[in-house]
Amino acid sequence: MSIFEEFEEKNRLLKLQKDYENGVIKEQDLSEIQKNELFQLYNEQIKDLEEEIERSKITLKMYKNKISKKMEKMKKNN
Amino acid sequence: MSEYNGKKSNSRENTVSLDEKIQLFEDFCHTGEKIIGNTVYKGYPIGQWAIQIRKRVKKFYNGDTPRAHFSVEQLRKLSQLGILKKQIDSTIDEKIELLIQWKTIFPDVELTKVSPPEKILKKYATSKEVYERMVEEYKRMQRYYTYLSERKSRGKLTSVQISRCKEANLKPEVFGYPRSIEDFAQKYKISNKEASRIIEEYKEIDNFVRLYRNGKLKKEDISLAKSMIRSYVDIDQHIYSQNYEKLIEDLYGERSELELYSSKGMQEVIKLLTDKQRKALIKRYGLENGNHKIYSIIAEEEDATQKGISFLVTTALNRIRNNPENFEKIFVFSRIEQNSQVTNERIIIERFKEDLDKSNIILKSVSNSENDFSQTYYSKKLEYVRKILSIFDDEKLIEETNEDGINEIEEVSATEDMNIDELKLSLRTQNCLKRLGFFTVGELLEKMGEFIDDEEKVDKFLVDLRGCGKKSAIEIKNKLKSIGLKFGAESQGVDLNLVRRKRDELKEKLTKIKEREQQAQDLLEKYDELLGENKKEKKHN
Repeated sequence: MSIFEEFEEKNRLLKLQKDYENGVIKEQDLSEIQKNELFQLYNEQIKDLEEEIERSKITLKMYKNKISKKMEKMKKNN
Repeated sequence: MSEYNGKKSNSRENTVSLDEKIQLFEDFCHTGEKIIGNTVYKGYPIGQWAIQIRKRVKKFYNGDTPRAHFSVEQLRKLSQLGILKKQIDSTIDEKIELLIQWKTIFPDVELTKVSPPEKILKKYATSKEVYERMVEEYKRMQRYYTYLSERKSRGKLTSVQISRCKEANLKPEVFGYPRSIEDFAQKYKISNKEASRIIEEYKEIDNFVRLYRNGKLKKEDISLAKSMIRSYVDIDQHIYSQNYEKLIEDLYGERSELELYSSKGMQEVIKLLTDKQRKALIKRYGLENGNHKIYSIIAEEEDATQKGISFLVTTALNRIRNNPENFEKIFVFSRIEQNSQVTNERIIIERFKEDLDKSNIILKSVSNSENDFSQTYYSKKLEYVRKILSIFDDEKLIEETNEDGINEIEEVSATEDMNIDELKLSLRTQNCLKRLGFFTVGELLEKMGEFIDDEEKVDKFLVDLRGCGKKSAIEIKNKLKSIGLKFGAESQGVDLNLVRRKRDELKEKLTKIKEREQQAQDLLEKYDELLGENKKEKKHN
């Protein structure tokens, strides 16, 4: 498969997902292959989201530590 | 077959029959390489032949030519060899479309570099094999770019092809820029090349301006920003405000932040000058009729010398500048900035409040300003003032933070994390499950996991739960089904609803975390600003 075909394949799956979510295609109208493809796609998205959430939690914690330090500094200055 | 000497000659080509050509194609295919438009094999231009054959076949099937120049057997062989397939994409339109496709899928891969940009390609490539294929494609795209540029320079592209390249923003220095970039360049009076670079680098003009205001713009872009971005905006929206701005720039220089000034305030200040100074200043900057004049013309009109007029203007500017009261008359926020020398937050807040009321009125007056920067950046200025006032409210965000730092985020529970309470079972059933140690749906499912695809076993399990009768068992099973869980044959196979729900829940959770992140970032900036002012005042003291 060429590069373009691979990326087009990915876009096709995303479009299928969009149609399924918008109700354009109903679950009973999906073939077994399509169901499996969608299932895999959802699982991939779930995995990515979970990783993103973990990263964001770490960032948020870092921000809050910084803010606490700034607050203390402000109190000292005044 | 006679050997081809590389010279273009119809008679030479005609000596090679189609069967002989097919033989050459077959031999070439054994090498494992692809046939492209300029492929030459054993001195024969097989790439060009392939193109011609395809065209002929297409014409015949479209009914453009009555006579087929090939037999069925030849056609079959050509098809087997892949000669008739579209991958031999040699037409100009096909090249353009492939380049556009490439640019859409890989927007940050520049095709002008000599060697493929390794890092960026690796970003897209999921494996070594994919990377190698991408490098090949990259080289092919490079060849197409060069080819199209050459054709453009020789005037061999149609206007349709050129405008297609233009709108897709393919090599703008060759094909021209898309309309959006040309409009942008015209609006801010910069060249197309600069406009294209700014949009590519900064994505949105707001980002570019924000960096400039914060002094974080690249050195090479600062002079460009100065010519594009106005430092001053007139709250009275005088018809010749641009001329007033020029005057203020000459008086006080350019500012790092957008400043609101009052042209009416400026007019009051000018009234205090002598008659001659006033006339010279007004004519020099075109404050009354919009036409600024050079010294020689003013001198002629006023029956004076050029030097005399220049002296009048200079003294007028100095007189305005040297009187600090004029500063307050001209600039709207000057009182706030002076007051920020005070350390006590309460006093700052009280003084800000007065100006905040006035600021709300001002905001309405500049909302129709033709300069879209003014609205954005005035709003930001106002936001800064509001931030100071709201700082005590935002500190609650920190008070809510415990050691963990993230507990206050509402965790959106996925189905398995759902509490038993959330199933809204009857009290008896709820207590029964809790007594047995099941506090979440996940814990219950864990126990049932081994036999979830056997509905009879699930029923037996639930009924056998101590303190749980048939009625409770049915209730539990129905509630679990209502949240999307499946048993028996239904549990086998793919459950799209469940994964979709889980994905959506995680998305919502991520959005909430990101919002908190943004709030935390904003608060950090506020503190930085305040601490920055306090540092200045310490130095002053």
